[in-house]
Amino acid sequence: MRFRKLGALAVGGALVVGACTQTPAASPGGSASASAGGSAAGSGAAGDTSKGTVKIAVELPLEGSELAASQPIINGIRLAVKEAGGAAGGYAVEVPESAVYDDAVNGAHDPQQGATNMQTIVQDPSIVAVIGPLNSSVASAQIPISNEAGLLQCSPANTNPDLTKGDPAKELRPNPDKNNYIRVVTTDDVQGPAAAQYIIDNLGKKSVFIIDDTETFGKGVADAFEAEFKERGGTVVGHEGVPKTTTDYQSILTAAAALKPESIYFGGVTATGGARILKAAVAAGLGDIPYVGPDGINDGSAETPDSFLNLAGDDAKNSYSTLAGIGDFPAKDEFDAAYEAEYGEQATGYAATGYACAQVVLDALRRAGEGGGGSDMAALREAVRAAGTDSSVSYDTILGEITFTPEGDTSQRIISIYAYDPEAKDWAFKEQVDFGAE
Amino acid sequence: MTAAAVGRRGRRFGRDEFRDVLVRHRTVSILVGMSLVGFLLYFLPYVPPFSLFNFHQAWLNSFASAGVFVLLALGLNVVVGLAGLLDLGYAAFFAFGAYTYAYGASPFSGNHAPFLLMLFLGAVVAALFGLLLGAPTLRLRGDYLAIMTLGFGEIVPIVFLNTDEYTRGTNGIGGIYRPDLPILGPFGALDNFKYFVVMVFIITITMILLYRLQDSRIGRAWMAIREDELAAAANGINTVTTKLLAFAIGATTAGFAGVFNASKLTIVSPDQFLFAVSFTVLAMVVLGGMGNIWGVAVGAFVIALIQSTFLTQLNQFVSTFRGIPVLDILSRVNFIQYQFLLYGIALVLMMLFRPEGLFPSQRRRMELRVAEELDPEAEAKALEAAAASETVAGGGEPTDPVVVGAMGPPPGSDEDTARPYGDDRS
Amino acid sequence: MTAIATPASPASRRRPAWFLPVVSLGGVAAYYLLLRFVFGIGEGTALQQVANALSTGAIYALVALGYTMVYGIIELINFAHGDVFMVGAFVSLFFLVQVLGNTGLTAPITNLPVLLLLIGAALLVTMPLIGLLNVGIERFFYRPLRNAPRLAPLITAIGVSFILQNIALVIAGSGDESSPQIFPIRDWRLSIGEITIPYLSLFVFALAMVLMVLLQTFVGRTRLGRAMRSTAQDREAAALMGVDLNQTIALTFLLGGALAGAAGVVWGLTYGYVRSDLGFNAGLKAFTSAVLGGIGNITGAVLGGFIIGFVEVFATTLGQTRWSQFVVFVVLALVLVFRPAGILGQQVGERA
Repeated sequence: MRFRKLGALAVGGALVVGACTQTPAASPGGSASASAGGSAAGSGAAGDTSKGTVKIAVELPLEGSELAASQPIINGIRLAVKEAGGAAGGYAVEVPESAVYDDAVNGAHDPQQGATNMQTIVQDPSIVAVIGPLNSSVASAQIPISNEAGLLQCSPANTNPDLTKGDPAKELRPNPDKNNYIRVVTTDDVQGPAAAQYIIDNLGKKSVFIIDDTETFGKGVADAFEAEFKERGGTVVGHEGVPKTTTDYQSILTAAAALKPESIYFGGVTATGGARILKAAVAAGLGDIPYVGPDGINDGSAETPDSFLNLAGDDAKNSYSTLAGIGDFPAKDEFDAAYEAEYGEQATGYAATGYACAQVVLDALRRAGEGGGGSDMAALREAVRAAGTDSSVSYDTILGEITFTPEGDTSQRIISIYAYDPEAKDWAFKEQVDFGAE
Repeated sequence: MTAAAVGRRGRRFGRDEFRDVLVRHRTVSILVGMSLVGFLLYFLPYVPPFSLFNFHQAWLNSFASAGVFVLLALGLNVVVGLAGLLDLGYAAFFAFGAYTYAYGASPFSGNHAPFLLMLFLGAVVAALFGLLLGAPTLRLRGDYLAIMTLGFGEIVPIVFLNTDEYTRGTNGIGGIYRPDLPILGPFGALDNFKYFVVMVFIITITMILLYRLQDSRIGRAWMAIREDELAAAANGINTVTTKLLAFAIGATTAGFAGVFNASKLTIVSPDQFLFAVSFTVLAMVVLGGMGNIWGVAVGAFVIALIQSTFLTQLNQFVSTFRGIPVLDILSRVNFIQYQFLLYGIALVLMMLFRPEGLFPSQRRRMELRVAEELDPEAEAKALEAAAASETVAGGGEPTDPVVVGAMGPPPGSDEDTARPYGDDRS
Repeated sequence: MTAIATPASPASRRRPAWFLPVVSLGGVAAYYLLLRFVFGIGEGTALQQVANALSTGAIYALVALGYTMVYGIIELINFAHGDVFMVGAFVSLFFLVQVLGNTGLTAPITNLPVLLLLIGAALLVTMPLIGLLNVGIERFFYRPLRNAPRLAPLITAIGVSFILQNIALVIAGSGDESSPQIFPIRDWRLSIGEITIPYLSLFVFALAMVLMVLLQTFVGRTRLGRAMRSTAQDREAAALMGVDLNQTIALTFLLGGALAGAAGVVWGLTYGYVRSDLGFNAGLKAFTSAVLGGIGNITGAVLGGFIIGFVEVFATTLGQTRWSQFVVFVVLALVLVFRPAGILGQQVGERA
């Protein structure tokens, strides 16, 4: 790892030095829950760094279409660290390039690579927490490792319920009593039903044709949607699994059109066919009914390359998407402004959840640091884990007040609904549904 | 005779004798060799530049993961390298091994069978499926076999994916129990050393078995079939049974790899067994040198390490150039994204310029270069070399590719091309 | 063996000329009736699905022709052919985007002459380019290995396939690229009562048939075509009779590539997206088509393409899309095991 450190130093050096030489501000243990209100300034005061330097690792797929979702997360994390003054609990905190790990192989996330990365991450004593991954399947390969190592892991995007709930979650953890995994987004068993509720209550449609991409996320959210839709008295006229290798979508939608659904629900992401299916639906004469999908299709405006709206063009006129997360969080405007000032582009997708994860990690580090914390990195790591997963603590994050359940799920079970805005050629926030604390 | 001449001859003698000893005592030499390799690998990460790249534990983890590919490549080498059959769906047998372990030892199934028993069972199940696939298809000629196996490799993950009730579908079976072995004790997620030891052990056993097979009657039958199936059949070799055996042995090894990988990753899901795996392993076998067990093992190991560790580190290294003029472009290159492009280029270049692989087996080398070696002197030398390296333990070989090539029909019509495709049932 | 069988060749001599069209038509009718009455699919849907199957099948057939001709002449499964088709789809996409961008036209184009002109131009650009790409692949990667053991060119072909696919991945990224759907698929529909079928399906089918008839005529009736057939039958004898082997083989790759290019154009019109792994997925099905019809047999490849198209649409119509790939491969396995020479291929012993 020295090699990496060298590389990081060579370049990141200027930045680190810059941060260190700033006059320490008068706020020792600079609060990680630095409210977003103060964030617009963009330059948090440098905190107390007397106890040394620690790192937060990031583990995300950084290739292909998934990079579009991952980059805002990294940006969000770095923004949070910067605004906290690059310090917490008496430690200088860094997110160097060398601690950003890529789990994509051949253009898509890969659980095996994710596990290999996690094996490396847990070996680095200067890493106190890891933020990631993007995909639930990668998380299921990583949690056994990070849990055994007692390393705090916060995912800004995992939505599969099996990661935290029930027997499957217990089976993943060698030490179920010492949870290390938390997430700031709510689960598919909330996101799917939210869409069902919206279609029936707000759009007034009583029947649906469901298509999923047969992958972990897509099928999971579609199954949860189906259960809720039926529960609410709706009719599911068909549920088709359409793998991303499919070539002919036209016949699928022809078959769907014959069933005369009042709406279509797509469980999946853009890369697995979100826009292709929409186009085929419009061609099959289903262009006038709502086309609803999860956050997998809420991946940027029509100007973002390879995004759903970019590929769908005008066919997206009746499209809706849900986002597992709060859409109009209180400090949204400040956050967007700070983000844009820092990166010169709009905050999209999971930028805010990445920011929130970093806030949680920094706050855990602050509390761990306050309770002592010296140069014993193993003890610090354990203290951060214990602090981060403490279900009695309430975090003041950019997403609002949140607590975590003992399993690691966020108390904030809010789903935001977006609709396509043909004027802006972008998703427009419609409303959010609060499912309340569990 | 001058002293220099004596010296030269003595040296040559020594080398040949050494090789002779290695071949005669193959089992012992593999045991010694693998212990040495394991020992060296354990200490290698302490030495620069390896120590700079990654942590010792992370290296051991990478070694153990690379071992999975070594096993896969060893198995595929039996099918492609020794018997000359192109199997493009090899990942399917890997999947059978992995799912067998998942059923044998996971909370999902409620069973908790010992690791060693499951290692054996996983191999048996994979071998059975090898026979099941092979029995109807091995009668077909080579390229149909390639397509059938490709189809099989596509189908198997689809079936695991779509039968959710029994396989948990796309979520995969998680929480698989880790091994608990005598001496080593129970394994944990971070016990990379234990996995490393087990992997070295499995590879050693596999290598001993494979070398024994290669040197046996069956091994010679495989090579005879590879070189000239008609001639092999005419010499009384039951070609279907022999090919079937190659298939089953290859599948067995993949079964080992599957069980080990499932026990290490603790989750199996259909997307771990796609065509990309089959292709990667094929590239490893071709690069290592089809037919040469050690060569293939080394090739697979190096490629797997490059893939899992080196490319990642390279990416992180160049990413630190971000923002620096000129070098910034380099920082945006994602080397992992290029890996399949590199494999493709490597395959093509190898086939065009060095078909025998980086670490060739002498016999295979001659065979693949048959059209080029027209110089009789070179032929004689190559023959001599081959006789020394390959046939010491096995005794005389009935067929010789160079002779076939030189005396038979012109190269343009080697046995396969000359045969009409209707022959596949004969 | 007559690797490239044509109406004039001995393979189909025993069947009268009307045999295949009539049987095919009967098959389509039976398919329709099966959907309609056995599985209770609505009249309109069943007819639309037949149209979908025809256009899907036409694309598979066009790609399958390249596999089958190459196999017929040098007995090589050209694994890279599916990716050659993918490159064709990208070339067509790029051309159309450029034209639309520079002329201010917007898709879809409702002016028929302009539309036909544009499609014609796309074909004229894509077909020769992709044909030449295919010739280049043969020249540089397969020709040096023509006398090598069989495994060598086969592995090379897989390598070339991955090279093409990953170059496309690096250039275009792993996401979809939108291809301009210049043919008005939504508005131009054939109405029979309440049933509407996009004219595009019929256009694609007709275009594919025209290309195939042209190919048949070329192979069956011209001097070069005769050279191809004789080379396929016996390479040495053909060479002795004065056939230029290299030229003939290059011609075969040119024709196969050009058809794959045409398939690429048609693909963009029909589905409106291109992706780097398209060649692998569609190519596999096209190859299955070629084997199904009897590899080396031109008519067989076309027939196989349509059968695979119909099988796929069948699985989809019954709401079993996730099993459609499975079904296609099971069909392939059954054919290979029970009739390895394919539907129209000759069985052992037919060859004198």
